[in-house]
Amino acid sequence: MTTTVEQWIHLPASGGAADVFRADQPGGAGIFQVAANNATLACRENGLRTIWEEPGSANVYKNLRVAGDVSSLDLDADDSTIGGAGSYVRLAGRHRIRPYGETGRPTRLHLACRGLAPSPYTLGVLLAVMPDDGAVGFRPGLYASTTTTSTSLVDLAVTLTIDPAAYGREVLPLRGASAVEELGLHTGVNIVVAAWCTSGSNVAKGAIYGLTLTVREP
Amino acid sequence: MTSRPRSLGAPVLDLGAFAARATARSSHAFTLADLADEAAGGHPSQRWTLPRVESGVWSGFYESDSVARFLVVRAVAGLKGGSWSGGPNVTLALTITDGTNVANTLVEGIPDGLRGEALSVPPSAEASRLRGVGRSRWVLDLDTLRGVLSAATRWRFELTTVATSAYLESFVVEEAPRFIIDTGDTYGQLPEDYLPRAFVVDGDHGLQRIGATLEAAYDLSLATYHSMARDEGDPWTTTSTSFAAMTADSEPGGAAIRYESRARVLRGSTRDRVRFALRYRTVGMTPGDTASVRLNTGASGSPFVAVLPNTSGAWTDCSTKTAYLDTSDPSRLDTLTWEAKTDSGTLEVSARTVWRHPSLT
Repeated sequence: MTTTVEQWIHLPASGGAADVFRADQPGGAGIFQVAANNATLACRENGLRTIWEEPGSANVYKNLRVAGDVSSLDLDADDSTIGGAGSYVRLAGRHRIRPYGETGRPTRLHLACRGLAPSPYTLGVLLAVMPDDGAVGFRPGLYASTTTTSTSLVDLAVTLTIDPAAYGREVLPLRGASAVEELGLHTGVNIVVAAWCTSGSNVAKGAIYGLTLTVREP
Repeated sequence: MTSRPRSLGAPVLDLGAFAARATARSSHAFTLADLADEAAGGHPSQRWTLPRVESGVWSGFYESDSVARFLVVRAVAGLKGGSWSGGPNVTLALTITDGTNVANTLVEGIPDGLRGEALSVPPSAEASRLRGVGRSRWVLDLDTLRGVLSAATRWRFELTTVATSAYLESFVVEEAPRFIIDTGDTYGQLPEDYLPRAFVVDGDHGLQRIGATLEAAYDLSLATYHSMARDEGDPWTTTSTSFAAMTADSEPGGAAIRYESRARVLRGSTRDRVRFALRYRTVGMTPGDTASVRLNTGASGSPFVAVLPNTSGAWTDCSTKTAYLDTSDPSRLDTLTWEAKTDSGTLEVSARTVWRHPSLT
């Protein structure tokens, strides 16, 4: 039998006169079912969240080095330099990523934004993850991208189901006032968000706005 | 007080184990305790994130009444300008305030490295910016901070950065999951109260703590839904007397930039209650006038308006406001935009944060 949960069911407040778990109260099967339902649902939902936002850029015109090959995007580019002008590469930080509750299925990383391309060019958006510090590995489960040729703003979305084998493992020693009080292993990834435009020239710029990264259900 | 370590993970608890007339065994209660502990302490999700910034003063809000015990802080500094010379770095000075008290020293919970020290970019950045970033990680002990700051109120992080030939590529403060069950907390069920083949009975920390643990999973396992900041020297501004997007917050055509947020969906299409707060000031405002910022969401009742009194040029944290996110869309995503107006003078906003604020009723 599988576990099927959809809805949180409120129980009487703990510690109150009607607390279904109070001392000497018989533990009915129905109450256990409700408790298991609520805990299972909360384990799924509590890990889903928005993790990063960025306003974007109206100055995207650096192109891929090899047409059509997303892995040729120059992720070392710095738009303050001549060689990197028109680039958009952002390190969105390291974030905790965990499976979807008791299902063990990998959660999805979702990048939403709005974008436009200058005619007749293409704007592209890349979402990539790194298990650990280092470089992006362009293999399935570690990156995803989308493109548009729209010359007016359109909604863009990139969804990446991260290969769980790529979750970075990290030991967290959590030190209190005088000693390590909690110690545990958790998982996460470093995230990179980037964009390109096939114009390759600052006379024809692409733009992206309102970038949001969200951890979503499978 | 008893505490036990726990590993992260959600066990499968087949609801059929508790079918009517079936006998619930002790191992089921053991698993239920494990599941409830995971629900409450496994996913605290408040955070404060900054995207790439340079020098400035940045703020974000945090609800301190949470299941979290520790915050993990990560900073990444990257090379700006292409050539490594003169030791590119970013200095980081973090303070936390509850509006009255301020934590900014080691004994008050701010560790070395976050009190004005430099995070350096290594020379390898010249070969590869991405691989050659400077990284650091710190842990903030919330109990230490709660000894200085009010424990059940909203706090504000303030980070002052000075960047030299470098960017602060990212700055992330996130709540750490709980790796222990501690009966000194108001929630948490020790699984070993239920031993194989033993009866389910109330021990010193009896079954009744599962109820409190589930409640903590519902209303104290918080998440930040939206967190953005601008340097106080270059804030979002408006002089408009009717609601409109603020400067640096609009798309071509003038509409406010749209951000998405994933609401928590526990109760079907019942809208998700949130709180929001702003750091702002008014400049040149006529005495008695006010300004307003409104948060637009897809939920009924939107927009949600914060009326902001005149501050005569002083940066101020507004009182906390209540709003709602829509949960009816199958995508579970809601769209957030911000608009503002002022009766007179200029309204400036440097931080805006939206976080989960569930109701048990």
